[in-house]
Amino acid sequence: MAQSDVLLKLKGVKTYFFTDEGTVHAVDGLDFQVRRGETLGIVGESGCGKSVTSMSILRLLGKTGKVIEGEIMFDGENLLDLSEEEMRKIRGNRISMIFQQPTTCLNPVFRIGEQIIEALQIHQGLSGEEANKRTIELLTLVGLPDPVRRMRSFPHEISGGQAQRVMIAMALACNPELLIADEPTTALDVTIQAQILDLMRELREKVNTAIILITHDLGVVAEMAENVMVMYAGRAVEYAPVHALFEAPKHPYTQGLIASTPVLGNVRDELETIPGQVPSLLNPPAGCRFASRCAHRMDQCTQEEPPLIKLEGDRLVRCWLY
Amino acid sequence: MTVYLIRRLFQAILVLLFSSAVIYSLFALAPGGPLDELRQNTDPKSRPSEADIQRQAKLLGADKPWYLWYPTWLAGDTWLDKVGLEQYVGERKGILRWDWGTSWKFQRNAPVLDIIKDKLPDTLWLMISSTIISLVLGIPLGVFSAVRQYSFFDYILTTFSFIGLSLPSFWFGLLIIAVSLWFKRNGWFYFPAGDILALRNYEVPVLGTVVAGSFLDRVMHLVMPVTVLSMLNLANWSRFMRASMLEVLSQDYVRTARAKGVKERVVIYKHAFRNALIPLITIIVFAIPGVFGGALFTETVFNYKALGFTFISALNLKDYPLAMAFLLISSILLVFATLLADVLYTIVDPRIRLD
Repeated sequence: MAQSDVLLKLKGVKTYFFTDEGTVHAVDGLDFQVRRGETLGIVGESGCGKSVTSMSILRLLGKTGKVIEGEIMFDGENLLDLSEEEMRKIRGNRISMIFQQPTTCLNPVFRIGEQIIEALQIHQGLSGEEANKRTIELLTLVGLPDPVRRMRSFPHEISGGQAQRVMIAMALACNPELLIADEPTTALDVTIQAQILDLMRELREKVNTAIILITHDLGVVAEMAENVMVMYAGRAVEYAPVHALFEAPKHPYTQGLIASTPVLGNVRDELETIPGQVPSLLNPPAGCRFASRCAHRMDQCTQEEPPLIKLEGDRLVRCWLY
Repeated sequence: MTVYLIRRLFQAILVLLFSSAVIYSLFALAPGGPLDELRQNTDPKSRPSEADIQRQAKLLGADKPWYLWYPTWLAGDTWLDKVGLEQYVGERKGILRWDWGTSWKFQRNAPVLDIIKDKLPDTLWLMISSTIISLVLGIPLGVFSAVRQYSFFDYILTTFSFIGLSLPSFWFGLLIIAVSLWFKRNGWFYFPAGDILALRNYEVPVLGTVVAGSFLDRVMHLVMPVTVLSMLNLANWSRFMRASMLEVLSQDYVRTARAKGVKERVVIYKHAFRNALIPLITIIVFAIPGVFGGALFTETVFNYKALGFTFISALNLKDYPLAMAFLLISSILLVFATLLADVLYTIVDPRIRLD
C-alpha cells in the first residue's frame, strides 16, 4: 500500500473533556487509518467516543473538549497543527459531515437552497446563477423530487428523509475527500434508512469519497463498510474487514455485540445481553476496560491493559486471549 | 391572513369592552369618591353646603347611581330619558362617540385628551430614549456574554444585571440625585436633579451656560431618569438575550454551520443571532404600551411630570375620566402590541403561520 493511498491517519489521539466533575477521557489513545475511497465503520455503544472522534477530526469539540495528544494526519498534514482559518477551509470542503437528526441540523429560518449555496459560496466562490445551477444539480443527485421548488422550501416543510438528503447534498457540495457520517440513519424510519444507505452507496461509486460511518447499528455497518473498528470506552478494541468480523468476532465485546443483535426468523425468549455497565470515563479502570463485564476475564486483565495484537489478515484485537 | 386579522380585530374590541368594564367597576367599588374632599372640610366658614356639593356632583356627572357611571362613560347620557331616567340626562356623548370627557380634579374641566396630548411629548422623550438605549446596548451585551460564556466579561455582565434587577428604581434614582448634588456642591460637572426643563438659565462646568428650554436643557434633564430606566431594562434584556443566544448556540444547526466551514463570526451573527432574536420580539413589542404609560416611580423621584406622574395623580384624586382614558389607551396599545407580535412572528419565523 503506497503512503499517498492513506487519506486519514490517527495516531495516539487522546481527547479529553475538562468538566466540573473532572476530566472525561472520551477518546483515550486511538489509532486508525482510512484509505482514499474506503468506507470505515466505527461501531460501539453510546458514550464510547465514536462521535467525539469525528468532532476531534473536524476540531469542533467546543470549549471544554481538547485533543491533548496524538496526531491527525489528513493527506499528509497534521490537522492539529493548522490555524483555525486553515481548518475552516477544510471543513465542508475537503472533509464534510452529516449528522444524526437531519431536521434539527438545518437552520429553521433559512431556505434549503440558501443553506447549500452558502457552502458553495464559502469554498468555491460560486454565487448567483452558477450557485443555483449547482444546487439544483446536487439536489437532483441526492434524489430530492422537484429540486427547483424544494430549494425555496424551509426545513420544516420537508420530511426527515428529505432533510437527510439535503444534508448529504450540502456535504457533497464541494466534492469532499472524506465524508464523516455520524449515525446518518438512526433518526429515520426503517424504509427511509434503506433509501439513505442506498443513496450513500450510490454516491460513493460516483464521487469516490472516503466515508467514516459511525453507528451503533451492526446491520448498517454490514451493508456499507469495508472495514470496521469496534470502540469501547474510548479505545479501539477490534479492527477487521467487515466479513471477517461478522464471521469470527475475536474480542469478547464484539462477540457480545453481535450476539445481542436480533436475527430475523430466529425467535427466542430473550436477546443475549452483555452484563454490567460501561465504566465511567471520568476515571477509567486500570487494565482492560472491558474486564469487569467479560466472561473470559483472567487475572492479567485487571492489572495490565492488553495492546492491540495483530492477527492474520489485517486484523487487530485488544485482548489477552490472543 | 386577512381573515385572521379581521377575526383578531373583533376579539380586540370584545377584550377592550370587557376590560374597560372591569376597570370601571373596580373604580366604582373602591371606597371614596371625587366629592369626599368637599365633605371632609370641617372649617365652618368655607364648608360647602349639601346643595353646593350636589351642584358640583351634577356638574361632574357624579350624581348618578354607580351602575350608570360606566354606561355614561361608554355611551354618554344624552339618551337616558329614553329608558326612563330623565333626571340624569346630560350632554356627555361617551367614548363610543369620541367624547373622552373632562378631568374632574387634576385640571378641572380640561378635556382629558388635551391633558394627555400635553404630557405625551415629555413622556415619549423619556421612554423612547431609554428604550432605545436599553435595546442598542442590551442586545449586543447579551450576545457577547453568551458567546463568551463564563468569561470574565460574562461574570461582570451577569453580576451587573443582577444588581440592576435588584435595585428599586426609586432608591437608585435617589442615589444618583444625591451623587449629582454632591458633584454640584463641589463645583464639578453635574446634571440637574429634577423637572423636565429648567425655568431659568443655569451654569454647568465644562458646558457653560445652559439656556432654559433649549434642547441641551432637555438632554441634561433626561440623563438621570433615562439612566435609571435603562439600567432596569438593560439588565433585563441583556439577560434575556444571553439566555436566548446560549440556547441557540447549542442547537444542531449551529454545529452544521461550523462543520460547513462558515466563519465563526458569521455563525454567530447570521445563523445563531437570527434565531435568538425570535423570542425577543415579545419583549420588544410589549415595551410599546410602556412607552405610552411612562414610568411611575422614576417620574415621581425626578419630579418629571409626564404621563406616569399624571396617572398616579389621577388615581389619587379619584379623577376617573382621566384615569379611565389613560387605562383605555394602555389597553388598546397592549392589544395592538399582542397582534403586532403575532404578525411579526410570521415574518421572522417561517415555521409560524396565521390562519
